[in-house]
Amino acid sequence: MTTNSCLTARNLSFSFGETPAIQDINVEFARGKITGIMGPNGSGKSTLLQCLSGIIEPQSGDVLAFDDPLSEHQKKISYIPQKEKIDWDFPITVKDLVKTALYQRLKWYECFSEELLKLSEEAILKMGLVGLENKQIGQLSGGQQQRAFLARALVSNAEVFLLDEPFTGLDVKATKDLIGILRKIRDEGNSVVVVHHDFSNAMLFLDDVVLLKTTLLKSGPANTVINSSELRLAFGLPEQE
Amino acid sequence: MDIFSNPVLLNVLIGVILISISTAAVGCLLYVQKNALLGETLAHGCLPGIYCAFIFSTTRNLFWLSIGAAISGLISSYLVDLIVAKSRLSRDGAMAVVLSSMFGLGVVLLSFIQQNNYPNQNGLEDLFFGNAAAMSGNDIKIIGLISIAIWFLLITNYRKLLLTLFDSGFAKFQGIRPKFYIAVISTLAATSVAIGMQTTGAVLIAALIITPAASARIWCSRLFDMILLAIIFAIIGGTVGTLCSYAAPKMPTGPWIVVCMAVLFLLSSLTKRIYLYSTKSD
Repeated sequence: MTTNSCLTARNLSFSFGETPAIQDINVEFARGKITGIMGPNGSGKSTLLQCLSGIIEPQSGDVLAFDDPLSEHQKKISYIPQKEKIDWDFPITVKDLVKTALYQRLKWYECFSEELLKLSEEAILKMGLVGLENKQIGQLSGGQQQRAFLARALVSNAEVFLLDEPFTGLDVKATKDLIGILRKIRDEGNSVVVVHHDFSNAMLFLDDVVLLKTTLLKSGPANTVINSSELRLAFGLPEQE
Repeated sequence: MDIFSNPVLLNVLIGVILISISTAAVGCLLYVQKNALLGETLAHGCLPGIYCAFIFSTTRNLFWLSIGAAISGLISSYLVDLIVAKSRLSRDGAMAVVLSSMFGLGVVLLSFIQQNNYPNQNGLEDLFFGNAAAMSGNDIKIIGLISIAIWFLLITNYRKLLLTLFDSGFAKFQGIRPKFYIAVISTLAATSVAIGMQTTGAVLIAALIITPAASARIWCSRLFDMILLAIIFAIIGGTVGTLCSYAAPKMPTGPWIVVCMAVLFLLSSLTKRIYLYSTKSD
């Protein structure tokens, strides 16, 4: 039987020293949908995403991927960190960045085969980065940088794409382009989870929303959560008339 | 030609080139790791190990001294990590503490050796500023063998090292253990420092590690290209520096090499600026 959730958090908790970042989170992320993790600053959005990705180990609770332990499906999950967590000055070009997803298929003495090179070229083409392959990643615009990392995720055969605040610093056009790409990835049967904080465009592309403020406040279809009293409470907004 | 008819100079030149190639490549890894000061810490951290190795072996054999240096360098690197993890000190603060403490310990051990009349101790004090001219044929063989080991580690682990340095989270997804490869980088750095001590000494070895990397980074968008260019800069700086010290015999080789590498860095930055200016105005 196939499950409808790509990721499941069970009793997930993580603290930084004495300060809890997330506490006892139980939530399922639907397969084939774009889910937004939303909440005010310091509500534990990025910590939850990192626990889901396997980058950090939760202090209690666990994460399931396709109903199995996360480690069994680790390679199907791709995590794209926040912009400021990436060293944009690192000497690596777009082409080489995408190729890093293929390293595990090669022994140290093996070169990239035609087939593997084709894979990375296809991902670059799909992400609209043709002509930028030999640019150092720091020379790209914000939108292009996100697309370069998505191209790498595509090459690694990921089925679940986790993105931490991908729209930070993007202008209107780049935001629109990235939304289009995330939809395309979803429409191909993949699942996308984004940490997002802009309610103005959330309804445009999010299917589901998980609302956090250290604990889980609400989860469900985007329009239900965004219009809920829990969201107003979390952000300290006045109740609707 | 005169260079080839002078076996001492030829010896020094081969030794310097071998050392420069290794330190430049490892320096690129430290540079992109934004850990340039680690070279300095390791260099000072190597001193106690070298003198301990001498006390136990009572020989100035470069192999044993290098092993002592590498172990002591790795301990210094571990101490920096430990201080950062267990205290509120920043990484550069921790490096400053370890660097000065290990240097102090090195000086104490050297004084101990000098006061206790250990045999074969002549030249041990050279390790502060280096004495490339004292390199023997045997030293060159040892430097060559250690360089091969460094290059073997570097080539066989290149992709894993790149991924660890660039994106340790993604590296973990790919089944790479970032902590292990960070330790590999520290080991490579400590070993390069250990063999380079003979040339420039503890005080100047950091320049041999970082300056070629910094000169190359100005021009390169790929780590692989950066390593190749850094090696070329290091070979040029090492060769010109050695020849300068040969032409002015009373001047030490190490500082000359460092000065030549600094000049190359200046030229590299300047040329890049001119290049950017000319392409802009086109």
